[in-house]
Amino acid sequence: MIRLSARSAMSLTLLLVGSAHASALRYAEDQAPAIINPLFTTSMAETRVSELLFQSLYADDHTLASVPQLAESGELSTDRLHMTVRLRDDVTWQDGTALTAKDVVFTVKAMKDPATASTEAGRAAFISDVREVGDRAVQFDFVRPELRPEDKLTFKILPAASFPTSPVKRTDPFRTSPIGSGPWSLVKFNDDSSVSFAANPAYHGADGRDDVGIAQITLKEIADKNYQAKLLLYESIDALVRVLPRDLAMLESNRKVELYPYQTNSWWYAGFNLDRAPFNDLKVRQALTEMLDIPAMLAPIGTGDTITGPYVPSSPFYNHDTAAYPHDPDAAAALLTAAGYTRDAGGWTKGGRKLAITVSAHRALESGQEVTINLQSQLQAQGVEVDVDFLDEAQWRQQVWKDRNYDVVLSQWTFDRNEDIREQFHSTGTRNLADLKDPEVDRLLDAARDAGDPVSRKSALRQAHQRIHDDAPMVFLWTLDSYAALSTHVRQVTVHPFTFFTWAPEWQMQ
Amino acid sequence: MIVFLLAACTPEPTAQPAPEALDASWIATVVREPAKFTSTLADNGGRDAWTALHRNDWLAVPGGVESVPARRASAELAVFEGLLWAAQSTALLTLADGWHAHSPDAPEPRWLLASAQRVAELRRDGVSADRWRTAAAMAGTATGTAGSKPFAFDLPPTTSVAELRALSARPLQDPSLGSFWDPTRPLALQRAYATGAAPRAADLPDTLFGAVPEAALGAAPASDDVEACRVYAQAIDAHLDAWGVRLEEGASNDGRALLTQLQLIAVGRSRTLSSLAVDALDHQRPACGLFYAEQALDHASSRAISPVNSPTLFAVLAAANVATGHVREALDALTALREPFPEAIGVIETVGDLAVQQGLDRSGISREN
Repeated sequence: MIRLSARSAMSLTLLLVGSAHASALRYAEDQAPAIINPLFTTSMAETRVSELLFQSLYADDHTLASVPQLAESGELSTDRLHMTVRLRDDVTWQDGTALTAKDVVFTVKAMKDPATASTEAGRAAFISDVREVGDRAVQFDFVRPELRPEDKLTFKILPAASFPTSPVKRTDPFRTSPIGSGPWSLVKFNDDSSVSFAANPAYHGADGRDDVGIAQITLKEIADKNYQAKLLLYESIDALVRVLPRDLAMLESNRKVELYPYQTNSWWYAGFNLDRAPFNDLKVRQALTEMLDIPAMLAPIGTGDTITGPYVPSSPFYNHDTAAYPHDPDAAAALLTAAGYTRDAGGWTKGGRKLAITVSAHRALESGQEVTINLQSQLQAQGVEVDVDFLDEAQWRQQVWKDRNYDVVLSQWTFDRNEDIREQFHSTGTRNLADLKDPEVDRLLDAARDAGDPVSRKSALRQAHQRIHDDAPMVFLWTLDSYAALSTHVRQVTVHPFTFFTWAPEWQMQ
Repeated sequence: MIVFLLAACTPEPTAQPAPEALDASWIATVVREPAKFTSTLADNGGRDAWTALHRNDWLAVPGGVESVPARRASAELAVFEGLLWAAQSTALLTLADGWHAHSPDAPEPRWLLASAQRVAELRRDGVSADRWRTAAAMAGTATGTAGSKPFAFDLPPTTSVAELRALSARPLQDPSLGSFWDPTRPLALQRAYATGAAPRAADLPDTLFGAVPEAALGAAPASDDVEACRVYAQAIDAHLDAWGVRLEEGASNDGRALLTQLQLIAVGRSRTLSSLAVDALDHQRPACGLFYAEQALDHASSRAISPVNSPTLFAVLAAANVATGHVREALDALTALREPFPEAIGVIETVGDLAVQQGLDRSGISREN
């Protein structure tokens, strides 16, 4: 039985009233993007919207090979340090102006400009310089020889004219009135937290396609994930981008719905702030880890696999020789004792201070509250005082990412098929939230980056897996099954394993 | 003999159910004649053997060469390992082909060159075509030539038990490379031969998959058009669902209990779609092969072998993903085989190497949530 809050029930009623529009696709997200600007993308919801609105120089075809999208052709110099990309001459922005080399140069420079603080800066790090070669060609210079730069020139291109001031900021008006060259364009952010998109009449696909099969798309924010699946069965929405594992059985038995496995490289963690005592003490981190019965935390939220490090078990980089920290309260107690703590009736203390932590989680993290409370309960039962703090998007961004004012965060990382953890664990990584600084991890990640063959890279990253496990900057929790679910009214569906909507122009509504 | 016979007799294609065809299947026998089902269990290998076979726990099926369930388990293994061979050989050739383009400064390892050469030879010999028959025919008799190579690449259809043991008795390569079949881990099929439970050609057609009810639904699409295959799969669902309802209505309490407890409709559906997937792969329709395989999977427990999710299904998922370029996704399917079939680790490593190779030149992307 699904229990709905009053607010949820009201939302459900509104959704049902406004249901069923055969020419439109309605899909659910836990949270609608607050802004739309690919330079500042942090969430998967934003990634999916960007895929609707923007294009890149190269993109994946159905075999996941890089093929020209905005590019017409590319020529790599013999020393592999330069590449000239010629642009298609039939691409316009949705306002009718032509897409030119100036836009490409602008985008790359904005990504690389430290003042922009783009979350995508790392994706342009391999480019040392970029310049226009006439209106329709761009020359890239690379930091070091590149074998297949088209595999990296996959970031979204933005219209320079939409950014009259420099540097580009998150708060620029573009965030709510983006202009793209992609198959759909933004219509509006609606009062009910939905976002409407319509087919972009100026769209010209690289495949010669000038139109799309679905005229309108609506992103519905449905924060209560517990009833997203129900709405799909009611035909009040047409697609779920991520199905709760516990809903899979219900959906797969319904013949009006099809499930699409699509994205596999996500894992949950409880991350410590290594700059803050007592989490700068490895013994304390290991003790807290060993206090947790992770399978028991996973069981209520669905099927998945527990993990021992920063990869999912199916990853080629996963080190299967790495043993999980055991759930061993006695061993945890011994570690805390070795770290200088003593336990009395009130719990663990050191120097008169209680071992007390606050666990912060994003409100939109599916099942996040359930997991956090379970984690709290387990630690408290073993003498650790635990507060929980559920943050909205703005608070999360400010408190966790900007101020780094937290003890432990519960969150999830999602990776594309390259599973590049450098940003998360290298001492120079822009997403190294824990602030891990381990020269050996750095060395291994550098070796992996520089590896010229798959065997060497695999070997380095498996060692990194072990080393990061030993450092315990976070409690590695689990990976969940990832499925999308779409109504059978939506036809010709193929889902990109990471960006989801890459091939959506081919989709049709029956 | 209990066999899975979804093959229909009705000559004209129609969307209407063809109960007379499905009524001849083993599912109907089990549900409508529970007593016969019970006696069959007793006469043909015992309840434990049939239970293990139903769980798709093939390696746990007891019995020797005369045991029906043991022979069926061996036959299943022949197909399963043939599909693993398809996944690995495709990955291996792609890996070798792309090595220079992705890694011009790193010479190809000897094992890769030699393995790719051997795979190419086997493919020229037609091993990839009609895999399961070839696998069954070759598994117990071919001596192969892998033992004469300076590396340890063992192909399931070509390496005899004796040769396998000989290979595993000596050090063969740098263990850190680890990108092919591990010769120290005997193949499941070889184990089956070692216990005398060799598959017989006569077992294969009936036991491995349910034949598609072509007479009722028409032939499966001959093109690699996923949309057409989707429509066909939906017709199969409707056909089986309607038949399942009628079967349940006419069953005794015992029969109804068996229908539910053994998940017979779900098992039949999965086998039918698995069969379509294998057929599509064999006929160079990988996109449809992948679609059918994904449809066959019990998504609610997609990480584990079960009565619905057979090892063969995971193998065909892996092979279809590799064939469509979705190499990283193939690893998801193969991971389910890692523990029950340690010999699959070699396949996992090869496919993993290819996945890594394809990402050597890419920038990784990560997102929160």
